[in-house]
Amino acid sequence: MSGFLIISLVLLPLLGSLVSWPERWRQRLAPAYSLVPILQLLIVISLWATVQAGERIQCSWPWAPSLGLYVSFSLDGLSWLFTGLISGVGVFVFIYAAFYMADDPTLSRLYRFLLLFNAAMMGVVLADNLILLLVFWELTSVSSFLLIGFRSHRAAACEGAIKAFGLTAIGGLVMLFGILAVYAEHGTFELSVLLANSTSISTAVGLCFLVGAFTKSAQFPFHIWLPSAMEAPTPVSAYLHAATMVKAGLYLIARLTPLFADDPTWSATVTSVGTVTLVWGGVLACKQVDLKALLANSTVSQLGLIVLLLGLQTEIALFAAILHILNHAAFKGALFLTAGTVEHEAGTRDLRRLGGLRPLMPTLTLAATLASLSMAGLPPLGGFLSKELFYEGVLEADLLQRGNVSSVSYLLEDTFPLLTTLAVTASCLTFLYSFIFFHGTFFAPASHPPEQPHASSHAEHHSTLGLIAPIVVLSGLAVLFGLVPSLAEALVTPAFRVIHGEPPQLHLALWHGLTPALGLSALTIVLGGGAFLVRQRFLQAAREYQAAYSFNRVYIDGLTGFTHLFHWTRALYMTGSVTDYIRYLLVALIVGLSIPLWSFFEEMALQADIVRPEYHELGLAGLMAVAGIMCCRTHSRIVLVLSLGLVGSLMAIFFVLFSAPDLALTQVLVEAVSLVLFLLVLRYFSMIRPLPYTPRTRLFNIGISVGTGLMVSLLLFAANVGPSIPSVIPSYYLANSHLLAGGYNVVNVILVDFRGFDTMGEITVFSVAVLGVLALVELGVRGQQSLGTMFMVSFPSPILQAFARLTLHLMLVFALYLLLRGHNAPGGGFIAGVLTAVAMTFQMMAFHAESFSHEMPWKPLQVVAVGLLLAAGTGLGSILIGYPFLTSAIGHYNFPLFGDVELVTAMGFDIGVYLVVVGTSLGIIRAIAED
Amino acid sequence: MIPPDLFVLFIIGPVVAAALLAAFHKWDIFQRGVSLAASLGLWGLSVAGLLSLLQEGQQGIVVLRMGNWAAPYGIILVADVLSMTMVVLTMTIGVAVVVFSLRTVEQAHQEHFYYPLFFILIMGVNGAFLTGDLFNLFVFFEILLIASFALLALGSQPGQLRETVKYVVINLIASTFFLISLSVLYRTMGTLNMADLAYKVQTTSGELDPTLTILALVFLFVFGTKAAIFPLYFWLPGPYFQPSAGLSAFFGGILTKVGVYAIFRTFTLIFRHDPALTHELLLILAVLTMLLGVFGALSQMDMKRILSYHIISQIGYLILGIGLFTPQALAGALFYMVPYVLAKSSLFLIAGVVQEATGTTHLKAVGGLQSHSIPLSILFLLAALSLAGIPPLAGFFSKFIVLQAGMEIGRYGYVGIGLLGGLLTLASMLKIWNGVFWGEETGDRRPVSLWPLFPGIVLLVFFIVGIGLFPGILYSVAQTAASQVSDPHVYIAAVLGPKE
Repeated sequence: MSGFLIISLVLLPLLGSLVSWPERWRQRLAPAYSLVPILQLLIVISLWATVQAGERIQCSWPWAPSLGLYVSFSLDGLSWLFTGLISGVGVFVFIYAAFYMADDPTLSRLYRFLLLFNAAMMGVVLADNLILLLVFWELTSVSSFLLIGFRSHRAAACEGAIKAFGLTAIGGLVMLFGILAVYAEHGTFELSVLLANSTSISTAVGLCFLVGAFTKSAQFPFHIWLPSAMEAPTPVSAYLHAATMVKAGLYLIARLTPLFADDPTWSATVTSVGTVTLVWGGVLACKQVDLKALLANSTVSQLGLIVLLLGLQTEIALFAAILHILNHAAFKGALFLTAGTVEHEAGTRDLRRLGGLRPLMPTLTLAATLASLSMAGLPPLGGFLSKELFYEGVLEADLLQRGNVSSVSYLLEDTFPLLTTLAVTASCLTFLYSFIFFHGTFFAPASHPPEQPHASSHAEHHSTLGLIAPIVVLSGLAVLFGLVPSLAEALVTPAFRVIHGEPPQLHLALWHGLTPALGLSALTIVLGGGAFLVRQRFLQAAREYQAAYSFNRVYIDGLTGFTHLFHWTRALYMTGSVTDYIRYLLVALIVGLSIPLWSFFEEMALQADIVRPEYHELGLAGLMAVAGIMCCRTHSRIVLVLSLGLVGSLMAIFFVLFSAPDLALTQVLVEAVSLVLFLLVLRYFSMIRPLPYTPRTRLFNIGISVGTGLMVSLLLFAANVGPSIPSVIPSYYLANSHLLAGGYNVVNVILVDFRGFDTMGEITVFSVAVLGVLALVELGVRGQQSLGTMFMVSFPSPILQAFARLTLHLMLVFALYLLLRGHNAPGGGFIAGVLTAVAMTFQMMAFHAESFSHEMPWKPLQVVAVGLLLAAGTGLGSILIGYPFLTSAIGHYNFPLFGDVELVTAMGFDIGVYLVVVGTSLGIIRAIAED
Repeated sequence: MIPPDLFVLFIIGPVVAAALLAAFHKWDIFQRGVSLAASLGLWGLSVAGLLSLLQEGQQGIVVLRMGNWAAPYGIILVADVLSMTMVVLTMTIGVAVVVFSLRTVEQAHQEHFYYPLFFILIMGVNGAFLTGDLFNLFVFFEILLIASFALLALGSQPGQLRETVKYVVINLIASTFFLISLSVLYRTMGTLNMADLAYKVQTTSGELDPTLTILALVFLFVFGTKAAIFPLYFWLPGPYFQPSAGLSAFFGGILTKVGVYAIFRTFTLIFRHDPALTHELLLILAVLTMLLGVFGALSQMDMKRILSYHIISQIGYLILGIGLFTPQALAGALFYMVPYVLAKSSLFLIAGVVQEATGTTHLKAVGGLQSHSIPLSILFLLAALSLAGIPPLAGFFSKFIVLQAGMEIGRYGYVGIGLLGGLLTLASMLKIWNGVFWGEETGDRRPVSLWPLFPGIVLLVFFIVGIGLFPGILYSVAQTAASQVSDPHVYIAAVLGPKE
């Protein structure tokens, strides 16, 4: 049951945020979202008894146990206090927002984002699994991001949102590192397990968590995001950026404190960061002229105070820290809402233009003044109680330091009560800005009387109650915590017990007798009051100084600097020139290969005998090299094409020399078809322009070429002289080509059977080629530039035509012959296809391409499609009879004239290949020629 | 669950579809109908296939002998959990892209073989994932290359053609070296069947290692160029920026992953003789890829260009997982792959919607789209935050698992750089968000209904969210895959039968 209650604390707002009212009633029904925090508050209250008894409620469900992930929640005193804050402040903020944005059509969206945040924040304080905690932690960042940028048409809002997200994300990632380290060491993500075993966690990991906490709680130097976050609508600022989200970091520190109780580095880091933030935030707050900016910086300062106290780790300090979390939520929530109401009613938040609102808004003046005084730490308000304890805490720390038994001896080397001094300074600053806040708004004479409040007086009136009542209640709480210390004590004690392990010895009271802390409080009032009276003298100077230097500036400059750096580095190497990219590629290859090749030849004793090449082989290779160099050097494309053809033909001779007639035949035919293709497209191109290379670039290029060539040669050489495993595959093919595959031509059997699947792929490549060319030609070349009737490929010579007519059928028959015999003798679908294509091309050249294509019953594209389908279908057929794809069957048939013919189903596949090759070649040639 | 022989349909099915689509390329309804039906059918089949493998656990490997020839004589297709996960992923993106294309492809492009080429691309991808033979892998790389070439050039705009030619030239160089290294490998090992290669590497006692190391580096060069890792990625951002959104989504999501898969497969199965050298190198290249990619992304001002650079950066993470080379890291790499591909593809599709709505994707020229289309901004935010690794979206767990694997073996530096990469990714995603969805409403608004463009994106984002909420499911798949690839004997035994 309790488990159910806990999970409903998270699920209620999550589900609530998914509710979308119909457009028509959206505005009127939006305030109904406030039911969620109200329900939550009721649940939290109902859990009070359990918590007060010091019990823990835990519930856990497996999430991804193999990764250590569980959806596990636990509620103890500390969590309870925070759930109370989230739901309690939530109630006021939600109600306030309904009035604050009564006429704003985005109100409903605001509520949904707020609920999302609420769920995330509940998750953070309830999660027991560290990863689950991180999930919610980041979710608070995301929802805060959306809320800060809520007025997304304003650039400042967007920048503020990004800054907040970015900086807290740094913390989140560092925290993830810490969490992973904890898991690597201890094998669990469960906080309760870690805490129960008082696991010792290394300081470095602790610091990771601290970075997360500091970013979230806007501690120095990450504090810069919080003032920028004030672009959010005011209810958001009050809720997220004063009362709850920024306290997530405090929660984390408090939660982990028992694990790092004996860690001086942890304590010193926390204390010193808190102290710096406390003072620096106070200084910044005093300088502000914008109400929300003042409050934001004061929040930074107050968070610093709590962090400082958490770092001291003494009983008084810890108690003061938790008490102040409570107090701060009450008075700062009230003050933020005040700023919102003032802006709503007066149309500005600028202290230089505000003033004299007291007679207009007496109730608000009273409430806001009380809240401010609580912030300033005046008796008998709640703030006074925590201020007193704060002084006691730092005094104790300074005194302990003298006795040399301190956990903060790291921080303070000498006996000067540094911490106390800083604490008093900061408190004076607090006093000062608290007074500036309420005095400047309500009591000071209106130096620049605001124009008549922007909202119409009619609308103003009905909204006033709703805009003031939540402030009154929150201020009332701030007063109540002071007047009835036992109430605050009761609320704080369960949380304290969780951190400190045992119930507190001290008791809260307004009057402790004449203690040193009381003296310091008096001193603060005197100094702060004095500063307030003479504030005009120095505030102006301080405000001017602000522009010159700030951490915000560092952030912005850093950001621009990095962007420029990234831009510059990218522009440096991403030149857009493919020549450069090829250079990078090849240099990488040369560098990458030279090292292992070097060590290979150094270590390897040459084992195999090197076969000395024959002279004619060397001659052929030399010719190829010459042709290759010619390709690179020529400026005429005709020469280029012919040289390439020469390389190909020489290759064919090599195939002959190494007894591969099929390959040679294929190579020659392919060369022929390519030549035709090249000639067809050649006239589109101009001469090759010599590239304007400097001699040095040329040398560099030659170096890369030679280097690459060298690498490849050495690679091949290494393979030939190094150890190797002889292959069993060729002998298997030779032995089984006819026996098992029914063909004597091993090459063809490999192509259509042993490795028919490769061929299936290759004919696909062929088919794509024709599709690509058709698309290129029809969409591009034809559309963009008129080429005229370029070739028409017609040499209308009667002799040629007669010859062509004669040869067409001869060649077709020969192609058919090659196709059919392919399985047993040189030939096959591919060669036959190319031959057919050559024959057809010949026809096209002799006659008009168009008239020729009329004679063709099928379009090349359809031939290709049929070929592909035939090849694939032959393969798939074998699946139907229970054999793998492409399994071939052999059968003997007796045909008249041919006698006994051995037919294999691979033949069907080969015919598919044939059709694809014919269709592709014809399609491409026609596409180009007809153009 | 499904007969093993049907696994060949992931390769042949698309070919049949492509042939039919090419034959009737002017028939509008046929083009859309067959494309949709084929992609959905193959998707369903692939899911069924993966499920049937998972039932067998570590033994879940389907081996198909093409033409009924045994390894190493014939070509073998091997569907293990790794490759089938990749196929499922491909088909998921394929469905999303087809659905998106139904509304966005220009009539002229459709008539000029957009769909047939797309299916052949799918065939090439699936083939590369499923083949158990390195030469066959080369063939599928060629199919991929030529199909992507034709698709990239579709439309024949001058800028498009210029980038496409760069793409082809660089890829052809890689292919040439692929062929060279295949011949050297065959000369040395006497086989190109991957299981047989793995077996020989396992059974020889080290005398082949120097040659293998050289070969490992050449293959790394080849696959690294395809996968766009440092210092071989320079070709990628240009061409990926050009084509229509649907294609960008498929290219950005899937194509480079074929290269990553090839590295994954070869460096777990074959080139595992000297991880101290090869896998350390992978780690170094991984972090450089990760950082330089995201630096490039941050320097851009166009949504699609930012996304293109991100492809590179995320590849780094994948390679990191492979380089760490523990079972958990390998599981992490696979786990990383899925959400990342989903997010990347959906972001490209969203860029396509932005393009449809405003006519541009340049950050300075658009703005305030959030108020124009809230669903679109939600989809973007989910996908972008997942890519940036924000919990509880799927991308977080990807990062989490890879980095956890790094922590376990004490590679803190790499983990740290990985986290930094995540932060910078977030920064660039926020840059897009700020430029496109927030700010003043600028740019024209075309009066088009965006709703028909959403189903494909919703499908992908649905999985991103789903994996985030239930990471355990994908992780168990990834673990099974890792259990198969981290012990090559499983693969070898499945293909070659039990060896002594």
